[in-house]
Amino acid sequence: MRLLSLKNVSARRGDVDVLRDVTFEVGAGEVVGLVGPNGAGKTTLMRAALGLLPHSGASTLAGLSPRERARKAAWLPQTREIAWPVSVATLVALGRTPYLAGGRTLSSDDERAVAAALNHMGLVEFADRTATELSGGEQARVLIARVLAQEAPLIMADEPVAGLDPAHQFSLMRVFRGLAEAGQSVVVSLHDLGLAARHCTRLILLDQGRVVADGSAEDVLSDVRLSEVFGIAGHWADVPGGRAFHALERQA
Amino acid sequence: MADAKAERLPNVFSNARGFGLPVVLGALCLLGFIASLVTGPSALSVGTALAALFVDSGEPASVVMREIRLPRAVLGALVGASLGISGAAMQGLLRNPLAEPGLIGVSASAALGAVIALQTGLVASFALALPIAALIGAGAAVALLLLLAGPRGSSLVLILAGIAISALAAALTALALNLSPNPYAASEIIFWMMGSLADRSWTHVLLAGPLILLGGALMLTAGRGLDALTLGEDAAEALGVRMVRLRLIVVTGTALAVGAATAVTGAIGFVGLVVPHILRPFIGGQPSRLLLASAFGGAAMVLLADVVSQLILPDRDLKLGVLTAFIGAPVFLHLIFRTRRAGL
Repeated sequence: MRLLSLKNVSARRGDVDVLRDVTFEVGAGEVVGLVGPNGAGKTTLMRAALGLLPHSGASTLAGLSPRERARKAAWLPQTREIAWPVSVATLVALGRTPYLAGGRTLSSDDERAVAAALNHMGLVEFADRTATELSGGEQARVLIARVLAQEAPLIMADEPVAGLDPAHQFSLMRVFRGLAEAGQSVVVSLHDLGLAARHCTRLILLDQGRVVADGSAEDVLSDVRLSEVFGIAGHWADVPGGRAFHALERQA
Repeated sequence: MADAKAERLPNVFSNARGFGLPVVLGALCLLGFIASLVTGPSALSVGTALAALFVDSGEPASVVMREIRLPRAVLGALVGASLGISGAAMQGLLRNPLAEPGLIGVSASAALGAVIALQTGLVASFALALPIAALIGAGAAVALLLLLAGPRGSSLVLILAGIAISALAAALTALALNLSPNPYAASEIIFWMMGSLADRSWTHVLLAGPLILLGGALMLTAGRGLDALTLGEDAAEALGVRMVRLRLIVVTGTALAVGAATAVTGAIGFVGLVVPHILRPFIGGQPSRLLLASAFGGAAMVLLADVVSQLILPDRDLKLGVLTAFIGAPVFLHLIFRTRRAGL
């Protein structure tokens, strides 16, 4: 099943082309890692796909009504804003907003989704705490739980592991893999190429607003591309349970 | 995602914090309302005053109660509620606890309209000229604001446009004062701008009431969107909130409620800023729950401040707006000390 289809999506910021003719599809059960150097257009691509940004070309999500779209795709922005001192449970319950038409309050189904999301992120005992009083990493996990509570088939997450300790980075990527195994899909931008290579089912490499590679980690992170796009080298090693990728400085 | 473990989870929505607050706010409003009814220059005992309210004996006491004190109390409650709810809505929209309803330029423009009515002598020929001119001023401010900020204008553009309109209105008001034909007109303008509930009638209630209620009802529909805005504009939009509509609702609602309130009472400062601030820790920060609570809190604050203004200087006509301004400073001092204690 196709959860997202982009065709020739382009976007401009002022006079600069920030996305150029991006075309790809995301099916069910995928964890797609969006990788690329700073300014490659990863955030812009996700926002354009969601219809949050003016763009040309077609995205299957951009044409929907806001509420319909919110039921099909959840968005975790990179800026982690929690404006008010609300409880963790209240914040995570905001993920249910697309299902609350009119003045309807949270149903038992909504509360089940919130509890499940808190459980997924190991935050059940935090439910009553005030979100703004938690540490940065804990707040990041609360915001991820909010996205999970939305229970949308597709999740788009912009650098969700930034600020998380390694154990929580791995556990978040495992959560994403678990969602994919259950039929959902995740599009996630990542700067940590090793994490992307190990945990994503597919990588899309962006450079200057263009898709330059789309496929398995070993194909996408080739020596030539690493050198051309990032100006770095890479090294693959056999480790228990598979292969691991390490980004390395290019030797003169 | 419904796994067995999640089914056994404790209820994550214990709302212990909010409990009792509606009762306290309701009681404070009732207290303020009754205190307002039994306070005034005519020496009526509490019993006589309340009896005269319910039984029309044709005595002066009845006239005082039904034509002077009751409209004053009703207007106080309405104006306070409009300031409180608008403050909460504006802070929610701008995600800033220092935002206040005056930020979008409505109060300053309503004041300008009133000043023009006083300055040109329109007031002398037609009693309602002042509030109507103030309403026109508020309406013009919103139209200009929406024109300047545009339908897709961000919150920052909205604030900048509001500041520009406030500055222009304040400059024009100063000009009117500067050019006022005689000292009497100037002092009339200054006293009006201080804000007061004195000498208001049912006509004022009928003029402002419907607009305040309409504005308040509009803002109450914004609760869900304001809650989602806790996560920022991008995330809220991705949750299905139509930001353009939400901004329009809050701006129009505030303009109606605060424009109407300013038109009949003059500028009553700090209520819209302080009330949501005081209530937020009790409510748990959720903007939707703060709206109605701030309406009640604002009503209680204005009613009680009006009573106090009549009690401390009974024969000097202490203006309500002057008193609420005095409440503002200590609240902010308290905030400063709390923030410093928290080491922020």
